[in-house]
Amino acid sequence: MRDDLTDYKYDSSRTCEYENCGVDYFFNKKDLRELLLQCHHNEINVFVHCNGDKAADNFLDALDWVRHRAIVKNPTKFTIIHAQTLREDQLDRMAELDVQVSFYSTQIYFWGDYHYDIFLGPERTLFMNPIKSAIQRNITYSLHNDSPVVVTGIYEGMNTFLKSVECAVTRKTKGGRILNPDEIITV
Amino acid sequence: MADQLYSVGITNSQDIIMTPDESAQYKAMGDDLKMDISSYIFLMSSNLSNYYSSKSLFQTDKYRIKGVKLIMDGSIQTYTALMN
Repeated sequence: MRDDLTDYKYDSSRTCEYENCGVDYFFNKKDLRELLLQCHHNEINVFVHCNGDKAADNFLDALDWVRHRAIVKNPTKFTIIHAQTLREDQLDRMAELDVQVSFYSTQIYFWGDYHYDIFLGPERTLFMNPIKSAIQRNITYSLHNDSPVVVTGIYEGMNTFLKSVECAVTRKTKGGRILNPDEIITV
Repeated sequence: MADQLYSVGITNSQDIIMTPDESAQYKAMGDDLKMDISSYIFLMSSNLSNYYSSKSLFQTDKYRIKGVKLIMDGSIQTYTALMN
């Protein structure tokens, strides 16, 4: 398991000082803010791939800057895609900034055990895909499979459309773990 | 050419594009053919400034970018997700 993540406690003042803490494709934050502002002014919907919580922080910081400069409220939608490691404080910010989310729920079944044992550790894995917490904050959400990563249709004898829903209502991994019953939703 | 396209029932076009050149080509096609064209673009930082530097790239009467997807980081399994 990654040593830097095992004792995870969120600290907003902390910067990533470890190796393998990820790739930041938008290292120029001014560029990001300006692009989001242009999209807002032109009513272009924006979908933002964020798997790591720092990536989501960077996006939310930029959008916060935009929201405070956009005089006209318009229908432009901003959606975080994947959102695998969102924190509760980020869900609060998303509700405040009117950000939607699409959860990659089948990660729970296909990779949940790997995340728990190898990639993320228990604490972060248990809060993966916090769908119920999003609902409680009235955040608009959807589920997706990230096809072809999880093939859309029939895969390993299962319907992956239904599997994405099943993952949200059972949170059961391939190995039989239940990842945090508190985040289970009903349909 | 527009008449040819209309004769076979093609009245608009949508595509996912990645480069400013492709965007410019679609924009020109929309203007020349008077077709409605929309695009969804997929951005990483390397080509970011090319898009927002010109507001006209976003839309004209016959060309409109409907959505933008930004890639902020990688994936958890490859240790490229950007983590705190």
